Amino acid sequence: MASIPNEFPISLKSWPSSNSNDSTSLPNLIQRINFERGGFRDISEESLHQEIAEAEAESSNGEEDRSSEEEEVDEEPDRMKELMTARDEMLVQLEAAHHGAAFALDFVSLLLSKDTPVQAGLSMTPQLREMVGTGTLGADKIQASRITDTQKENNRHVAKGWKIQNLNKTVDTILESATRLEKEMETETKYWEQVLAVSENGWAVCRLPNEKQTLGVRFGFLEAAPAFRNQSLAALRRNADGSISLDQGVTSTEPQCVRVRVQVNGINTGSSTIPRPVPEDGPIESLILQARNTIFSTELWQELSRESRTLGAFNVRYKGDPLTFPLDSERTILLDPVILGDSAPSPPGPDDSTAEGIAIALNLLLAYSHRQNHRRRTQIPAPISAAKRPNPPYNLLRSLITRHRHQQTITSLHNLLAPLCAMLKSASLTPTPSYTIIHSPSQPPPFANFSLAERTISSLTERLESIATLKLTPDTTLTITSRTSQFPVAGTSFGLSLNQESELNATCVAPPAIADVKGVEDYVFFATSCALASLFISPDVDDSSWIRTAQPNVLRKLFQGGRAKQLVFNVSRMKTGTKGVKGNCSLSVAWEWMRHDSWSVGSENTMKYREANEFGEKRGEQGIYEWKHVAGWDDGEGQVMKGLEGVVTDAGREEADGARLRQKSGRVQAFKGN
Amino acid sequence: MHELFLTSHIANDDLSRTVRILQGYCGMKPVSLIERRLMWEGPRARTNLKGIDPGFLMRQPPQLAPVWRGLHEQLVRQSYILTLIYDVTRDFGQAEANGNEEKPVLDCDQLPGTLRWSDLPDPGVNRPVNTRPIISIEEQRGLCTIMQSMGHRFIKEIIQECYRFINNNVVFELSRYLQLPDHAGNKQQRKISTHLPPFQSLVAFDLENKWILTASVRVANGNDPDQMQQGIGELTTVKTEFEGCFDLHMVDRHTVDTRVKI
Repeated sequence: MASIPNEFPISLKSWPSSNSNDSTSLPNLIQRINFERGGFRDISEESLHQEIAEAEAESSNGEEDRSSEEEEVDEEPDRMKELMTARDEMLVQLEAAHHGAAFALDFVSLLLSKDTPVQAGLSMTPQLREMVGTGTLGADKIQASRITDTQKENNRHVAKGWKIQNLNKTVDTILESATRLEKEMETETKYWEQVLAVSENGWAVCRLPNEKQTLGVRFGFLEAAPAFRNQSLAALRRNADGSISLDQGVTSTEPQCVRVRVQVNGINTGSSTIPRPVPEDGPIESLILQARNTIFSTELWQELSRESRTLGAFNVRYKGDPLTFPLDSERTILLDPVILGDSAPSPPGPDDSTAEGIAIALNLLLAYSHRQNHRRRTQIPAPISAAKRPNPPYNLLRSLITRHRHQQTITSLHNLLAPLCAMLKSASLTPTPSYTIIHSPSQPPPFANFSLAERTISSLTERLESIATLKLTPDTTLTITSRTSQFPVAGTSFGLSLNQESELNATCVAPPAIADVKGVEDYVFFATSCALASLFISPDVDDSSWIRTAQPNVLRKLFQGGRAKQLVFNVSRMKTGTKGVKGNCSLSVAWEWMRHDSWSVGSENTMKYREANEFGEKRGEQGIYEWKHVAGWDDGEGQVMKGLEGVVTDAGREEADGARLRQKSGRVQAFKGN
Repeated sequence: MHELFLTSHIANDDLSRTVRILQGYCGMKPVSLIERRLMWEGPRARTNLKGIDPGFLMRQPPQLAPVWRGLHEQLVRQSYILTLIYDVTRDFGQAEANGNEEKPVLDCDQLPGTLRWSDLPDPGVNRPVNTRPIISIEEQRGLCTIMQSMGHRFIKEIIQECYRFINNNVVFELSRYLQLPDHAGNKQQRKISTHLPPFQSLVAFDLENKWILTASVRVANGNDPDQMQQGIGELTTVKTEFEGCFDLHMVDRHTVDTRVKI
């Protein structure tokens, strides 16, 4: 046993599978040298040593550089990859050990099969038995062992030492991994608690479709356009310390919102509030919320710019930021997307609430459009056909503009009717004329499960109809229906109607539809004067009463001797010097003597009206009495001297009053304050 | 119009799970429907089928005329079993259950309903889904009278309980059929009843009380290969996505044969 070296133990290795693959075999080496160096001619031991030394020096330099670079670039090594390599390595070694053990077992069994064939046959593989047969290998002791007892003892000690060392190492490793696992558990618990908190607050938590091991949170809107819907998923990543972070991936954008500003002559008078950005290490909930607001604002902005292309007729302009449209004659609205925290908050202005209101309205309208998308999506779809399904822009600005126009219309109706009633009241008319404006009840919802929120938005945008009822006299009630529509052309149309019992149905027919407020005003004024005139008509024709003429606002009284007196009622808008003051109107009653003939035959109401107006001016009135209502007068400014009835009675007297009034030869005015 | 469909069976125990899965997949709450389906059998003849009265066809509004004419062409060629579908509510029979004397009268002829014709599915060996021509005329009144005038005979009625989900063009219908208790034994019933028994008293048509899950796509023109391909594509996507969850498969076309046997 002299050949056995002292460095026992020998490791048992599997037989090399084939010699041909051995790269250190001589033929291989010669071939390699021929190939790499072109033969042995220039190779000496020294030159090779030198070469190796140089290569080592270079590689060590390079490695240092590279390693420092790597550290900088990637501080965290790919843990997963490392684990996988270690696992593979372990598997290879285990397999080799298994092979080695199997061969050793076979060898020993074969050796023993000569002496104890039954026992050895149990542990021998059938293949070996077939190939070589049992008992074919013999062993004999040919020389006494050189290993002394001391050596044996030493070896035992060494083995024990190794064992203890390795056991210690194992214990250390296990302890280390236990600590690591404990730490991992803590961080993992922390992470899951936060994920649970996010989930419990109503956010949808799910697996990421392309990264199955990672949890994500859906912060966007299912009903948004596909581009935004696909961006609405962010990964909830775990930081090293177990805290949670939101990773929006490549779609990550700066938090932004749509800012609404109001400008008068290019000067900002109001701006919507811009929220403060959440710091990057802020609470996860706030970050998710901010991401949601951002994606909503981005979509809002895209939809606004898409819609603006169809709204050129409303002076909506969008040529690069900002998008502008006029709110009224003075104020302009500017819309633009801003990144949170980029601009300083604007100073408070008088129109802040308007801007804020518009911003909220736009957000609500987009949410409403989302609801409508959901409704459309959950209906049975039309069959697949060659026709393309249209994708019209949402009605955001359009709804806002039509709603605003409708409100303006209502305001102008108030501006028309309120002074009219106030003025008639000052003329001591009984019962006092009054008006009401009501919004027509909203239509029953088109769908059964229309929620309250949707119903509210729908009633504010879909059907804009108001009914103004003006009760002029006990007999006559005028109804003005104003209807503002979004499609096909946004605008207001007015429907006018009188009650069935009214006398005015015969004399002053309401036109069925009028397109502007001016037309309504003209008709209302004319109808009022006609209604007032009709109050003083007596059914019997005798000397003491006023009778109707061809013009409904002109009355006539016959006196003996072929003479007649004419009385004209006229209601009109009064011009004042004060700019911007609306809502002034006046009622004038004029009378004069005339020949008794049919002096005017007109067919059109307006012609009658004009002629009646001219009548008073051309013929030299014998008396005129006016009632005015001027908005902005203080109390006590203007005082009513006479009521309408008194004036008409006076005007109807034959001699005395007429003479008296003629003598006065001027206008008698009565003023009434607010 | 063509209908492309795949079906699967769901055990009653798995119903709520299936509803939840589809709810998540389609992103919508299920639309719960109960439909009363009246089956009408066409004349038992091979030839001389008169189809729909020409006068009636002439009276139809322009948007419906081609659909009725299409149905007429089919019925002249072959006698079919047609179905009238009426939506009812779950509490249709509550009055009776509460012992209330005044039962609500359901006169189908006065109610708006849907007339549904579907052909025997196409043999199409190369297609991965069942396809069949269908005609559906919705929101029509007086359909029973029309059926009688067409020489069709009322044979049976059945109640379909259904949860409907929609994802893009694919309509998922999770349904089971229920029979009226009086007619569970009889094969045929001759008269349309004007009252329905309480919902709880209905008997499941399938003894195992299984539900049928149908995923269907409708295609306007079945002769257009592009449209058909799009429909097939959407259905096969659904099939692949539900692999291992629902076994959506083609059915033997003769199990849904609607032709009148002579």
